[in-house]
Order: sequence, then structure tokens, then C-alpha cells
Amino acid sequence: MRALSADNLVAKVPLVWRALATALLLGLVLLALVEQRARILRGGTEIRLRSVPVDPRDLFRGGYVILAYPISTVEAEAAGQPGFQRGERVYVSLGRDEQGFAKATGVTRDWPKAGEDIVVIAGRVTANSACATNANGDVDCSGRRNRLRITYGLESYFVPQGEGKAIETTDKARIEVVAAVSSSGEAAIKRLLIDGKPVYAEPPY
Amino acid sequence: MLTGSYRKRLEADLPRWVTEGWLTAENAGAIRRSVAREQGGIRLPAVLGLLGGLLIAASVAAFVAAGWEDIPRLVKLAMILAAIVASIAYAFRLERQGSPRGADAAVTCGVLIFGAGLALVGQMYHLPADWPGGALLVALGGLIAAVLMRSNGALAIALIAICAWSGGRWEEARSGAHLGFFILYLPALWLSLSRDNRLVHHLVVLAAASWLAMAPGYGLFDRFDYGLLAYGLALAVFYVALGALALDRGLPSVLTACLPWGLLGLVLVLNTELIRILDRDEARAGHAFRFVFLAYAVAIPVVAVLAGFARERRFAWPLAAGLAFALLVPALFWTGIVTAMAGKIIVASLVLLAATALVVAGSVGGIRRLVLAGSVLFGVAILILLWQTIGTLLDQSLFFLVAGAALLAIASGARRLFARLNPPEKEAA
Repeated sequence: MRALSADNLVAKVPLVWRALATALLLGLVLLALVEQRARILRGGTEIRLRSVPVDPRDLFRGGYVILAYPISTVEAEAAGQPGFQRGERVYVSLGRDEQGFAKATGVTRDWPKAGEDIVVIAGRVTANSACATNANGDVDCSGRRNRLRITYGLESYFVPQGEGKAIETTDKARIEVVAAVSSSGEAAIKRLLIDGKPVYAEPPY
Repeated sequence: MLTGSYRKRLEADLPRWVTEGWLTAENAGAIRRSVAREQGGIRLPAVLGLLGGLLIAASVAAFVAAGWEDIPRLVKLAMILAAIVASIAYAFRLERQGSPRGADAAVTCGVLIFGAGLALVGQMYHLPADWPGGALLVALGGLIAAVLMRSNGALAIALIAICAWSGGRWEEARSGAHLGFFILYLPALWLSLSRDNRLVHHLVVLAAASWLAMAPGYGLFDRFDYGLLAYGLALAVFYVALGALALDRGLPSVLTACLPWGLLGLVLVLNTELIRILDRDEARAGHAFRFVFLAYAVAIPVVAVLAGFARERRFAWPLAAGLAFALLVPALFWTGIVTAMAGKIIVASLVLLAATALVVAGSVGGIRRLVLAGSVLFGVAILILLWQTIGTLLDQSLFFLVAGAALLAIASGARRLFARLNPPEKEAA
């Protein structure tokens, strides 16, 4: 029993090596997280996203602004797609509308066959009977409630303390987000624009 | 397990034993020195160091949360990395100087700064508020530090983070048990077996309890089912039996931490069942679901092992009997007789019997927690019975009279009973 004790096994390694390994591993976890995000920002395909209003009470929470997009609710196709579960990872194919903003063209469980001008973004289902958001950004609960609410990791935007109110009071229709989507579908916010003018830009580092 | 209260008790007893002539003054001194050595020297600097470390980590966290833009993000990240390295380096120095507790405090501070660093990276790259994902990384960092630096503080942080991660994922998925929990919990459990830190022991036991509580799935909590009470009762019985067995047979001391939490659950669930059966609307026949059967299938054998294999039968048998009485309560709900007067009388009697058995086991075994839990269960049960009576107050008075008379009868026979169960060993001299 004592021979198999974790502390006895670890004690065979000199303390100096253990301390070095601890500091190194903790640092590496942080740096790996940074690099994973920076890689998306450096090499990802850019998509433009229109922002739509979310519940105003939730808009500014602590140090960040909560954002939602038309692609946050996606119509699940009826054919050949058994019901999606909450928490499930899905891939959404994005096309472009006339103004160049991204719009969802389909949602699948597996990586879809990408065509010309199609960007695939990975997301997680947070609700499977959501109401739709129409072109004006209003919530429309009429009709079938078979839409999925999907998060892509683009839903929060941290702003310096005190500056959140400014974005909060801005009309959501004027806010636009440019995101980078990596070849594996991970997305990160790259720029935030108001009336088409960049307000915040995110360098990789 | 040497606690402060044990040392105080010893300080009071040693002079008495010396005056009685059972112990020489030299032996008493040797015992004092041995206890002082196991207590690990002076603790005050380490305690103050831990508090100071916590404050520094909190300062880093608040600094990150402020999102102050005057310092470039990369410089902030470098500061966090430097702070982690400094904490670990300081821990190394303290460990070398022979202050393991101080080193533990420094490592704990380092892990907390690592958590603040994760928040900073989340802020830099606008990571969504995926707090279970963040908790998972904190748990990983905590486990790394707990293994390599043999830190109890880091292990405690890791255990809390594991629960937050697992609970968050469970809540998100709205489905059954989150099995991923064990990937991190089992290593933490393994580490805790070689630790003698009571906080770590309690956290290990509570983490398992939280997973077990969530295992039946989100849906059952959403539309509350009384079967959950039976499930909770079986788990509480399992914890009490396991804790008592660990105390009796000298199993790893982490298991003894099951006892207080099991007792707490037992008292809460039994009193809730009693309130429920006396309520006109809530006294309905219940039903068991799969997890209730599973919990019973685990609890009953452990109670049987406690009764069969305990070293001190005078303590184990009353306890096992009390636990068996408790397990019968939900079974009565399943039979459906709970709506009749007979069912109410039987449930009330079972709860009082279980309470009495706990007090008996606690007094015989010298485990104050059992006596306390049994007394609280007994006292609250009587208050509930007076508040929501079985039948009229006159019927209730008759019930108490019979129950009191039965207890007095048992008390008069108890001495002989215990003497027969486990005759005291004849002293050699």
C-alpha cells in the first residue's frame, strides 16, 4: 500500500526537478491556450457577422458585452437529422448574403463537404427548441420551434472597465463583428466595428 | 489523525495518569514530544503565509478583472507567468528550509495565480464565459502542482474545480451522469490516500457525494421526485457504514471523512420523510427508480459487512440496526400503507428507533458524532411529531407513552445485552 502511494513515488524525483516541471507545465498550459487562440486570429478565414440584440438585462455583465448573431439560431433540417441534443458539438456551414454577412446554410453532426465560398464553423448546441431571429433581429416564436440555439465562442467581448456602457447603449444593428474561423472550425473575434468603422481590433498577441 | 483537540485532551489526561501512577513522568514527556513532533512544529507562520498568499492571488485576480489597458496584454501575461514561477521557486526554498507547510502555501498561491492567468487569457481572446472549461484547466493545473509539489492546498483547489467542471457540464447537457468526472477524480483520490490533511479528505468525500447526487440525471431534479429522498437515504447509509467501518478496521483515513456527511444526510432525509408522511397531501405511495435500487444494492452489503466484520460488535451492531431501520422507511412508502394510520406509526417508530440506535452506537463506541447525530434526529423527530401529530394529540400522547416505556425497558436490559454481545476481555494481571 505504502509503496503505491502517489507521494512516495513522486518523492523519488529530486525536488528541484519537480519544482521546475511544475512551473514549466503551468506556464505551458497558459501559453498553449494563448497560441491556440492566436493561431485562429493569424490564419483563420474572416467572416462578417451582424450583431442582433440580446436580452438587455444580460447585455453588460461584469467586464464584458454579450453578443448574439443571426447564426446563433439555426434551422435544423428535418430530413435525415435525428434530434440534436443539448451540449452536442455541431458544424454549421456558412454562406454569404447580398451584403457579405455570414448566414447559416446548414447544420450537421459531422464535418460537411465544403464547397466554394463555404466556411464551416464549429459550435455547441445550447437549446434545441429555440425561437428564430428574423432579419430585423427580432425574436420570432411563431411557426415550428425546431431551431437550435448554438454558441460559437464569439458571444462575449471583454472591454476595458467603464467602456462596456458605450457599446451597451449603441444600437445593436450598428455593431458588426469580424471573426476568424480556423480550418478546423474554431472561431475567434478579430474586430468589432460600429457603423462599419473599426472600434476595437485584436492582434494575435 | 492528530487534531488540536486531541492534544488538549492529552494535556489534561497525562498529569492525571501520572498522579494515578499508571504512567511515569518520563513516559508522559516522551508522549508529549512524540505528539508535538507529529503536529509538525510551529504552524503559525505557515497559516499566516497561506492567508497572505491568498490575498496576493486575490489581488492578481482583481487586477485581471479590472481589464486595465495601460499595460499591454503580453506584459500582463508575462507578469502572471513570472508570478507563477516566483511562487514555485519560493515553495522550493521553503521546502528546502524544512517548512513543508509554508511550501504548500506558496504552491497554493501559485495555482490560484495560474487560475487568474486563465481568466486573463480568456479576456485577451474574448473566450466565452465557458466556466466549466475554465474549471477543467484549473483542475488540471491544481493536480499537476498537487502531484509534483505534494501540495494539499493545490489538491483542495483541484477537487473544488473538478466538481465545478463536472457540475457545469452536467447542467449543460441536461442528461444523466457525467462520466468524465472520474478521469480527474480518480488521480485526486489516489493522491488523497497518501495525505493526512483533513480538508483534503472531506473534499474528496464531498466531491464523490456531489457526483453521486447528480448521477440520476438533471430531469429528476427538474420535476422533483420523492424517489430522490430514498436515493439520498441509501447514499447516506452507505457513507455512514463506510465511515464507521473505516474507523473500526483502521481503513485509509480518507474514508472516515464519510461519517459526518453521511450522518448529516441521514438526519436530513429521515426528518423530511417524517414531515412528509404526516402531511395530508404529501403522504402518497412512492416508487423506486433504477438509481434507488442501485444505491440500495450498494448500501445493504456495506451495512452487512459492518455488522459482520467490525472488530467492536457492541458498536457496530446497534449502528447497523439503526441504518437498517432507516433503509426500511422508503420501502414502507413503496408498499403504499403510508396513507393509513399504521404506516404513519411504523415510519415514526422506525425514525425514533434509528435515532436511538445511533445514540447507542455512539455512546458504546465513544464516537461523539454518532451521539450528536442520533440526538438531533431524535429531538427534531419529536418536535415534528408534536407539530404534525399522528391522529389527534391524544393519540400522539399515547404514541409517546408507548415509545418512552419501550425505551425504558430497553435501557434496563441494555447492560446485560451488551455484556453478552461482547464480553470485556479479562485483564491478564
